[in-house]
Amino acid sequence: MAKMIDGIETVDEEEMDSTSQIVDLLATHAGDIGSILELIAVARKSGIIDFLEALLERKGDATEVIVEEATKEQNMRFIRNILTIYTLLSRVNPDILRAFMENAAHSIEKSEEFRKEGSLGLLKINSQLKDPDVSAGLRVLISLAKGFTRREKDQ
Amino acid sequence: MANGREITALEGQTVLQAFLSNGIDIPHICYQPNLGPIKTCDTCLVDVNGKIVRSCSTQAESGSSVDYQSPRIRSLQVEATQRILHNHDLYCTVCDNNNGDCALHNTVHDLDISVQKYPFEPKPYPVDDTNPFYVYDPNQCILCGRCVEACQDVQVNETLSIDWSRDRPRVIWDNDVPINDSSCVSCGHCVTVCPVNALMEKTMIGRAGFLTGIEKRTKDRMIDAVKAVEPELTMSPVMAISNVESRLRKSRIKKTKTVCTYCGVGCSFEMWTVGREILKVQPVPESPANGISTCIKGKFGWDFVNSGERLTSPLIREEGRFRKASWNEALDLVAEKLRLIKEKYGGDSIEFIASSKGTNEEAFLVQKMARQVFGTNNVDNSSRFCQAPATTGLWRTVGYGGDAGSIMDIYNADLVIAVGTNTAESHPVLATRVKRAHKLDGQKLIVSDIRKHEMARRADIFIHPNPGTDLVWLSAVTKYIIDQGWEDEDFIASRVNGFSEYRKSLETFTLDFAQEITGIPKETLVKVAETIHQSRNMVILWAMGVTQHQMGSDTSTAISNLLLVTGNYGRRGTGAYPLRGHNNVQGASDFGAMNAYLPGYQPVTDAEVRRRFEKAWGCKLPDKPGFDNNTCLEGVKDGKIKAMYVIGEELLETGSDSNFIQEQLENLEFLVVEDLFLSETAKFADVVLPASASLEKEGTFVNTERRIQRIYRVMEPLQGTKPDWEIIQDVANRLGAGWNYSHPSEIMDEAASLSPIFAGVRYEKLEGFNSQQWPVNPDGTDSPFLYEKEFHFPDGKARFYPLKYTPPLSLNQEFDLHLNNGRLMEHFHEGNETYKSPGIREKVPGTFLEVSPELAKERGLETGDKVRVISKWGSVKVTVLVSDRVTGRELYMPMNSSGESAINRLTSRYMDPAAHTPAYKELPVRIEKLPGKRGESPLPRTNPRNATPKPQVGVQVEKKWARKDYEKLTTE
Repeated sequence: MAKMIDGIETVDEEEMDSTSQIVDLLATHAGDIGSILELIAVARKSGIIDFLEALLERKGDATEVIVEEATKEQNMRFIRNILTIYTLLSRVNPDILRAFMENAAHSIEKSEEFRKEGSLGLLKINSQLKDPDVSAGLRVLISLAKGFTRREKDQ
Repeated sequence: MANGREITALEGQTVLQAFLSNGIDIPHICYQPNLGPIKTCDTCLVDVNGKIVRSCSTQAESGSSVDYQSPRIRSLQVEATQRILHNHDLYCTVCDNNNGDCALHNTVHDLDISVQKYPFEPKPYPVDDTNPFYVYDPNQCILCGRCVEACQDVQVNETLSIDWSRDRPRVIWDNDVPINDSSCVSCGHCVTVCPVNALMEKTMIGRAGFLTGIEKRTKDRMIDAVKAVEPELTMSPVMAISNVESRLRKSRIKKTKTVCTYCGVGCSFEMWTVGREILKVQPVPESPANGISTCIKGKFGWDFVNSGERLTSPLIREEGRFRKASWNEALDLVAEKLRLIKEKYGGDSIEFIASSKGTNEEAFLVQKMARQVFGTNNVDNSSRFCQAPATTGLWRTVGYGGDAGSIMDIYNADLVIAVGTNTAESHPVLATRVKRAHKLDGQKLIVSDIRKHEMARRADIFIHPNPGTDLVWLSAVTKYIIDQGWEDEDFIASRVNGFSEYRKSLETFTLDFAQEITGIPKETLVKVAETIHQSRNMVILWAMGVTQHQMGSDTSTAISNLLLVTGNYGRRGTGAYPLRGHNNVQGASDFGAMNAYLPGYQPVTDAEVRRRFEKAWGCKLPDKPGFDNNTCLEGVKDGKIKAMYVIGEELLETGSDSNFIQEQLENLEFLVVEDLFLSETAKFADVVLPASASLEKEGTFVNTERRIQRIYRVMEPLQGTKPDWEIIQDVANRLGAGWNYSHPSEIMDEAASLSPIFAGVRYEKLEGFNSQQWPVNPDGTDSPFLYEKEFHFPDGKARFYPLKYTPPLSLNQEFDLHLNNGRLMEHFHEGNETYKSPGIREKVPGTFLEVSPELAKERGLETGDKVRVISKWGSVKVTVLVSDRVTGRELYMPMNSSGESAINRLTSRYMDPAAHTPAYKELPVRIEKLPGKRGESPLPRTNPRNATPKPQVGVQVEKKWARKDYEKLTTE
């Protein structure tokens, strides 16, 4: 006569099946497990694990700090300026920019020779302006100069 | 032609559908295949023959020229998307919907939108998180209307709409009440189809992404920071980062196809998990039975899998307690005890009960163990408690014990007759197809039931027969049809035997007789007959309201007779559809867990069949049917059954007359139970073996359409549990069976090799969302629809089956009320799984007794009063709910209760003489009001039954177009 049993009494019994399955698995992959354990030991010694643990445990705090720092006015300005430079760099044809930078480098290298040529009078400037490359370059510089104040004027 | 390329379209396809099927993606956000064109988003604009149109709603026509990608068209698509972005805050990297399937994210990316033209502007509404399962965030809502379309016209619960009249429109529930106070049934359709994160499962929030779980304040500041730099940054790099994060989620989130275990509809879906944590259930358009549809249980009712109440160790009864034991000790004990009982009393002294929730492969192994190892046919499953009479009725008349066609045939019928089925609650997803066809396509609906449930309220004709008298009105209507000369003479002459004898048997079923017995006016019966006569294609659905009577088999037969008389078999949109209740009640029977049939419905009495199995299994098989799982209890009482092996069945509470069953369980010499939990049945066991859940194993199920579908392992078995098929094999092998199955597919291969109806069933053919509907030919072709050419009898002809009427148990002076019982949508059976879901428990915390307003008045009862319900066989204490769903002296009690208020503490041992199914629905009772303070309503205020839906067709996009702020982009 099997009467109803309502609960389960916990009696310490060896979970033989589970244990033997785990032992089998460990034996099969002993080599791999050894390598992983070594890796863990090195990571622990170097502090990486501690760092990751801390990062995971304090994930919310860490993110908050990053956001806090990132949203300071000074940092925001920095980010925006970086992004503006990014916009500039992503729009300009790299071939033109390369030529410009090479010329600039070349000109800097020749700066001592320019000094020897003496002062630059209006006549010399005038004759230099006849060079189409110089003219185009100046136009770019003038256009850039306008750019600093154009927005205010437009408004 | 499309921008120089030729596109082929199928008849009836729209331009968008044709393009998509040709592998060309036109941007689209509000279009979803199961919903059809909604026309709210305007992102799918194309130029067809010089006119700008929405490709989702423009029919593809031969010779048309379509421009879908010129700069002009692209700019219109971009403009439409920009307008949507005004309503949606883009923060994809920290959005739980950034899983590669966000329609808006993908459209922004595909159209290469880098700068927002109309900045996001928050809507002045708070987030609604009142529903226990999902959240609506108006600020993220893009007003695409998918959710409304799904609620109004797919699920047809008719709760959601968009209030287009507001300055800032939004989705509202009913007449703009909080979600939890609305008529929302938490089916999840709206959440499933939401293309963004406006509607989201609570289980997803903060869990899907790597960064989505961070604290809200920090997240908001992060979003603000990104937004602040967006003018310089543009959206492109942000989108790129979110795309990378989305890709990384693929290694975090596992998506596994599985099949629901809550009813016989067989809804399949992907389950998204992180480890054992369930993120969400996501049905997909290719789900064959359900498409995008689910019900509350399938979408949100899986908490039981990770319940702390799961058994994780075998238990052995010892000195009046359960002791935890190792698997080896428990299995050795089971094998030894069963061996001794077989030796002492013979194999026929043991009963095996397979689970109707287990897989086909497990059912196959249970019956194989019973027959091969123990030499007995004492094996069965719970179809005995529900569907066996329907199967009997179909065997008598058409040959196969299964639905004649598919759910699409029900959807496509001109007339649906639903007899004794509370479809909207017991088979909610299948009901949606009827509700939709009835609402939108002019399908007629006749409902016969003793309770005015949702389908009854929707019906064109609702008839309320006296309990247990359906056979009479069905036969009377059939007779009337024949008397009018409306029978299908050609069909009967060419495809059915026995008409004249059958016609003669109907003589007693006059309209007068029917009116007297059923209480249905003659005029109504004539109207039913006329409606049938006027309909081209008719299906009949039925369930427990028919089968759980002493006349269950005969009433099922009467249904099939009516279909034969009217020629409603063998054409699409016709036929008989007994709606199976468990996920695999069909399959457990199909695969031989039946006392009289080997797998594939091959009789144990057929010597040729037995020889085939004996050869394969190397044993001698018994030639007489064994005990079924109902009459075996009388077998215990008579001393014939000494041991039982019960797999996943709550026999004590789902069998009829729990008090009697309890006595028999106590009388057993040995009882083994495999289960997820310490069920009420398991409490009487000598050994309890902890089984894995369906999500933890592989196998197949058969749904009500005879559709075989695979389940895949969503998560590893809970530590300490094993899948049933492994447990059965372990027991069988300890008794010398020598089985060596390493995967369920090998079991299926064996079943297919021995059963002609499964000849071509192969796991490879069932990959992913593929399915096969039996009978499956050796070449793999299957049978979505039966009887097109012949019925399943040797001469290929159906058979009329004459019937007589036997009255049900009647009321008397002592037991003056009729008690009906059944399911509620929110719960499955006694609720041992569904009560583990806090949300479901909140919506329906327990059972109750529905009492009609007139009876309540007569007895001085009000909602919240406690009563004792007493039958000849037992009594229960329960809370009253006064409801107009029941009338007069008829009561209703949902079966979602265990222990002292379980319905089967009241039911009897009366049964159908042919199928042995208990007459659960024939239950005379009386009620006694209990003293004490009146309590709360047993249906909480937030239960959807207390609210009023707001029906309309679709999202009513015309109201959007009529708004002053809507600028038309089309040139139609």
